[in-house]
Amino acid sequence: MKRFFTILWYVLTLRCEEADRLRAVTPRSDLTWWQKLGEGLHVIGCRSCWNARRNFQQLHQISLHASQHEAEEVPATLTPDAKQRLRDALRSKLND
Amino acid sequence: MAEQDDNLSQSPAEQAERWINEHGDALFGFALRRLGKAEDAEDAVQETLLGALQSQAGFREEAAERTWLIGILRHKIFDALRKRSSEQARLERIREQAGETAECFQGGYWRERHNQWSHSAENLMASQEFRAFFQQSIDELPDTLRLVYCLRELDGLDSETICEILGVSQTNLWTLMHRAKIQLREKVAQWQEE
Repeated sequence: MKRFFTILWYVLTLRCEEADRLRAVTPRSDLTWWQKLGEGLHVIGCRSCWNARRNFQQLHQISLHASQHEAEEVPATLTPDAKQRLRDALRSKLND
Repeated sequence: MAEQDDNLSQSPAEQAERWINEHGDALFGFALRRLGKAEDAEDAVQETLLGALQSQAGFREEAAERTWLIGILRHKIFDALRKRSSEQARLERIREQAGETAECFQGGYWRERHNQWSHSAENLMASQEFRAFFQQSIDELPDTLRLVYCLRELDGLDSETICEILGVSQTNLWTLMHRAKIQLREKVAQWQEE
């Protein structure tokens, strides 16, 4: 019974920051049922959180796309010196 | 297929040279984003190429060579991160960052009304300019936030594994992930306003 009231209190008093923190968790299966319920109920009554949830969903889609193309789009490059160091180190280890 | 045969007939030194030229930059960029230091990223690439030379039998034709090399690199990066997580000062810094309050909130509520983005994710990703901006935004995140974001969202690791690699609790991980996503969400919103 005490647990029921604890969960009820959590769900009813969930603030925007905590709701947003829960929304940032992926996958959703990492959350407990009462966390999902609390966030879901909070979003119904809070326009900003509704928008924030939508934006996080879009961010997740963008990240998914970025992860698939990361190897082609990462801007950093090895300097010529670094390439030479890499060649020398590999050559020396191959000769060992 | 002929190209595959040519590659297999190369000496290890020739093979390594070709990998450095064809994939060196991509491997280095991938490692640098996660490890944060050029020196550490170079070491990880070096170990990856050595590992790849020793286990070429594991390379399947259907897998792109770069994908295979990145698979090996990922494990080298995770090993390096595991070693780092034992550094107490680093751990404390992570916990400190997890304890900070996000600027967009005050007393647990939004400081200002939060608006929905004007563009959809599909439209944004169709723009090459946006894709470059997004990659740069990830790179500009503070070290810990970038790392947590990369491990979860780009590498797809589960929370338990990330906590084990970084030596943090799940609560800390969620908070750090929240901070990273807030910063990216704000950057994307600013990009759309410009």
